[in-house]
Amino acid sequence: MYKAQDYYPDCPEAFLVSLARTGDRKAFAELVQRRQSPVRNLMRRCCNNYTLADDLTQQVFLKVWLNIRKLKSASAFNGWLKRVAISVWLKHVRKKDALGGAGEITGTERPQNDTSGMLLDLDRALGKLANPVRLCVVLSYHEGLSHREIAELTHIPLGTVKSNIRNGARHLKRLLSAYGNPSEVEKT
Amino acid sequence: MMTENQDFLLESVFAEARQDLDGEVFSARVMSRTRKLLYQVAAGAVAMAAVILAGVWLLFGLPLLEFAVLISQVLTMTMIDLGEGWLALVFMPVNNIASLIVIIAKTIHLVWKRAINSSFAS
Repeated sequence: MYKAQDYYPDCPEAFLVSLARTGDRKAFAELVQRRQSPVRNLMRRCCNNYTLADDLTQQVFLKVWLNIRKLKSASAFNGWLKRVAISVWLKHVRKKDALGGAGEITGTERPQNDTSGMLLDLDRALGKLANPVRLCVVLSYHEGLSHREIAELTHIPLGTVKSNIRNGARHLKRLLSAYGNPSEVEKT
Repeated sequence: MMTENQDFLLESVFAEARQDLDGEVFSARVMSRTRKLLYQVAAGAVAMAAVILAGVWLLFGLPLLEFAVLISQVLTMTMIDLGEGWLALVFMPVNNIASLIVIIAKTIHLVWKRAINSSFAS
């Protein structure tokens, strides 16, 4: 006999969100399954530490589970999830009192099957940026957010967001310049 | 994805960096943490309730107990002094303020019912 939960993988996200708001754990598990990859990717770009990124992503989903009843519209889930993720990351950064300084690259545990040199180079290059600069660059290039949206989400002034992205992108481009030049990539 | 960025190199590098990560283990870990969180919240609520009850008891428990003792003493006071003999023992169940209150309440109830019935009859 089929249970309602068996159909969850085929359900629209808004429906799952509505069920999760009523306390349906199975629906929430399905939401986690669907949304974990983008959030983990975002955290990985921000942290440059996969273990920490996964831990922060877990915190994000725990916070979502605790507060999902407060979400007014099920269709706003994706944007809200992103906001929660950024707030968790900012809280972590503030706790380490590192917003002003350059990002530390510590405990960079990598998955064994990760063979993408480009990915490693990108994360290493991002790790060399100061935390606010890195966050602005990641939100802009990885998440595709507008400068205004980034300013609203991070509470960083719009002018600072723009200069962070400009400077960060210039720095990253210099570090990743080999990827723009195929002959150099072949050499490496 | 519409962005305000004009750097196509970085856009392509970031686009390639987006991996489709396997979520089975991760989701299971999150759900087990939500379960633990539920137990923690429940344990916290029980502990909080116990602390509140203890606090209320410390603040109001003794005055309430004294008040209850006082009330019971007042209610069991004899109305007519019949001494210590058998007559006092026979009338003891009704010879106190509590019985008087019950009798008065019952009488009012009966009179009220009679008045209501007579008003309906007329």
